[in-house]
Amino acid sequence: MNMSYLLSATYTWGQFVPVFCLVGLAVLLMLADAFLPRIPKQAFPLVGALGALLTACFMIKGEYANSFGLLACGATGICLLMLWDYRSVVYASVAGGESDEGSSELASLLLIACAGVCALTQARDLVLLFVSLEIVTLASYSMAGYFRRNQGSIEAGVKYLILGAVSTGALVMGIAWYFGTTGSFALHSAFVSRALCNPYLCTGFLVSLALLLAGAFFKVGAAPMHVWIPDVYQGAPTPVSAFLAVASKTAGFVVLMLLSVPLGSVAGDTPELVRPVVHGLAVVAGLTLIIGNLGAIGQQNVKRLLGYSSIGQAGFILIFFVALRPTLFSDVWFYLFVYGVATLAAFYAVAQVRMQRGSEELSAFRGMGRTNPRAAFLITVLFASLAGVPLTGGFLAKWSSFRALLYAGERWSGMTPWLLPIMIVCAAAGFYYYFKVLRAMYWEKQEEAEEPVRFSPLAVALLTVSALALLAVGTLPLLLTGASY
Amino acid sequence: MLYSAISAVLFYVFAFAALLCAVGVVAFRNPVSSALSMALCFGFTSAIFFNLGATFLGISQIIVYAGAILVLFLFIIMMLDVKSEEERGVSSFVSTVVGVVVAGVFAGLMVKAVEALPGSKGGRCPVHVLVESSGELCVGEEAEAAAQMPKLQPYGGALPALQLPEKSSDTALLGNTLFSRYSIPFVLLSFALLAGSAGAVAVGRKLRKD
Repeated sequence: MNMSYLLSATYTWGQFVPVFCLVGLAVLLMLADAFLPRIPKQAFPLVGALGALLTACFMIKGEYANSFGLLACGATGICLLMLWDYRSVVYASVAGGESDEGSSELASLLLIACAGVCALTQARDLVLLFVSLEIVTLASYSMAGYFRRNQGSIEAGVKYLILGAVSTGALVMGIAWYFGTTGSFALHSAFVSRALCNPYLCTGFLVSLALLLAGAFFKVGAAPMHVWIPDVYQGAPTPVSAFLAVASKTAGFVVLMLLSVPLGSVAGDTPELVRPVVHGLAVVAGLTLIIGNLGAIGQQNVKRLLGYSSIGQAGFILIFFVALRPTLFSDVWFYLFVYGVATLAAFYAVAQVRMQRGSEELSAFRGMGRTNPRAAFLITVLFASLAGVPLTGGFLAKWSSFRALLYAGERWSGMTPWLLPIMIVCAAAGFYYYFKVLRAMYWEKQEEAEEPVRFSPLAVALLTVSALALLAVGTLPLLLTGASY
Repeated sequence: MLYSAISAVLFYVFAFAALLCAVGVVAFRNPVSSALSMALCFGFTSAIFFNLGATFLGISQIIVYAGAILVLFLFIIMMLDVKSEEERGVSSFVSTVVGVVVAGVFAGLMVKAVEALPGSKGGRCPVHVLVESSGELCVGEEAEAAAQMPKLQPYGGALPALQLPEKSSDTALLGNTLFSRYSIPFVLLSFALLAGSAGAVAVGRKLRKD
C-alpha cells in the first residue's frame, strides 16, 4: 500500500484497473449464465478462481502491487476453487437434488466482494472507504443466505443483514462526525491532529473515531461487535464462511489501518493526544481475546469453532494497533497471511468432510488419523499453526503479536501488566480447542459402518501447499538467519 | 434577522416531528402504520433540507425515499398481507437492561459531545463560533466557504447555510462535486448496487417444488 497521503484524496482511474477487471469478469459470468445456458454451471467458479488468482499475480509486483489486495484476491480464488469442489452440496442446497440451476451467481458475488476489498485498499478518504466497504458488505449479505433450502444459511443471512446494517449506521454516523469536526473526508494526520488539539472539538472527534472504529470492529469481529460471527460462519455456505473469515476480515483490518495511520503519525509527535484511543483499543483487544478464545473451548461444530477462533486471532492482530509501530502494515499483513492460509485450508477440509459425512461436527472427523492419515497430518499442521506451535508460521505470527505488546508497554504505561496475562491464557486456550480436532482424528475411533473420508485431489493439493507454506514460513527464518527465537 | 429566526424555529419543529415519526416506526404494531410513519419521517427530513437551502437534496429525498422506496415497501407489505405483529414474546429482563444501558451510554456520549462543541451553551452554531474565535476548524475547501460567510448572525440556526457562488444552485454544486471530485467513488458505488441487485435476484428466486 502506498503510504504517502495526499491532503485531499485524489484518485486516478489507473489505480482501479484490478477492481474493474474483477467486476468485469463477474458481469461476464452473469451474462454467460443468462444467455449461454449450455455452459455447465461448474465452469463458473473455475473461471472466477482463475480470474481472481490471475489478478492476485498482478498484485505481487509492478504497477498494481497491492499487498492486502493480494491477500483478498488469493483468498477469493481459493474460496472459488472450494466452491467448485463443494458443488454437490451447493446444487442440493440451492436448487434441490441434481439440478445445478441458480448456483452460478455465488461466483459472481464473490468476485464483486473481492473487488470491493481491492478498492478499499486504495481508499484515502472516508467516501471511498465507505463505498468500497459497502460493496463487500452488500455482496456478503446475499452470499451468507445463499442456501435457501437450509435453515441455518437463511438465519445467517438475516442475522448478518440486521447486525451489518447497525454497524453501517455507526460507520456513517462516524463519518458525519468526522466531517463535522475536521471539515474534510480525507484521512490525514493534519486534520486528525488539528481536531484532537482543539479543546472544543476533541470530544466530538473522539466520538467520530469511536463510531468509525465500531464499524471496523464489526468487520474484523472484535469484542462488542463480534456476536454475528459464530452464527454466520456456522450457517453460511462453507466457501462463503471462508471468504468472510479471510477476505472480509482483511477488509476490516484495512479500514483499521487507514484510520490508525494518521493516529500513528500524531502519536509520534504528541502521544498524549492519542492515549484515550489507544487505551480503548487495548480494552477491545483484551475483550476480543477473552471472548474468542474462551468461547471456542466449548464448541462442537468445527465451523463455529473456526468462527470463535477467528475472533480470537483478531484479538491478537488488534495488539498491533495498540502498539502503533511503524511496521504496522507488515506486521498485520504477515499475521493475516499466516492466519488466512491456515483458515482457508481448514475450511476446505471442513467442506470435504461435510460433503461425505453430511456433518460439520467434531465427531465427523473421528478416526481420520487411521483411515486417511495423509489428510489427518495436513489438518494437524494447519491447526498447529493456528494454535501457534513452534516451527509453524502461526508461532512467528503470535510471537510478533507478543513483541508488539512489549513495545506497546514501553510506549503507553500500564498496558502490559493486564494485557500480557490475558494473551498468555488465550494462547494456551488455543492449544486446547484447536487440538480438540486432532483428538477427534487420532484418539477416537470411527463407527464401523462409516466409509473413510476421501479428499478430492484438488483438496489434497491445496492442503499440501498450505501446510508446506506454513512450515516453510515457520522454519525458514530460523535456517536463513541462524537465529534462535 | 426575521428570516433566520423563522428558519431556526422551523428547524426545531421539523426535527421534533421527524424524531416523533421515527419513534413511531418502531413503536407501531401494525406494519402499515410503521411504513406510513416512516414516510412522514422522510417528509420532515426533506423539510429540514429545504430549510437549509439544500433544495435538490430535499426533492430527491421525497422522490427517492418517500416516493419510490416507501411505496415499494408498502406494496410489499400489503401484497404479503402481513398481519399486525402477533403477541410479541415478552423480551427477557436481561436483554431489556442491556438495551437500555447501551442506548443510555450512547445517548450520554452524544449529549456530552454536543455539549463540548463550541457555542453549545449560548445556542450558537459551532462553526460560527469557531470562525469568529480563530478560524481553526475550517481547513480545505470549507475554509473558503467560511470566509464568504457573513460574519455575525444572532441566530445560529441549525447549520450555517453556505454562501454559494452567484447563480449556482445546489443541484449544480452537487453535480459538480459528484462528477468531478468524487467521480471514482461514484462509479464504484454502482458495483455495490450490482452486488445488491444480483444477490437479491439470486436469493429471491422462486424455489422449485420437488
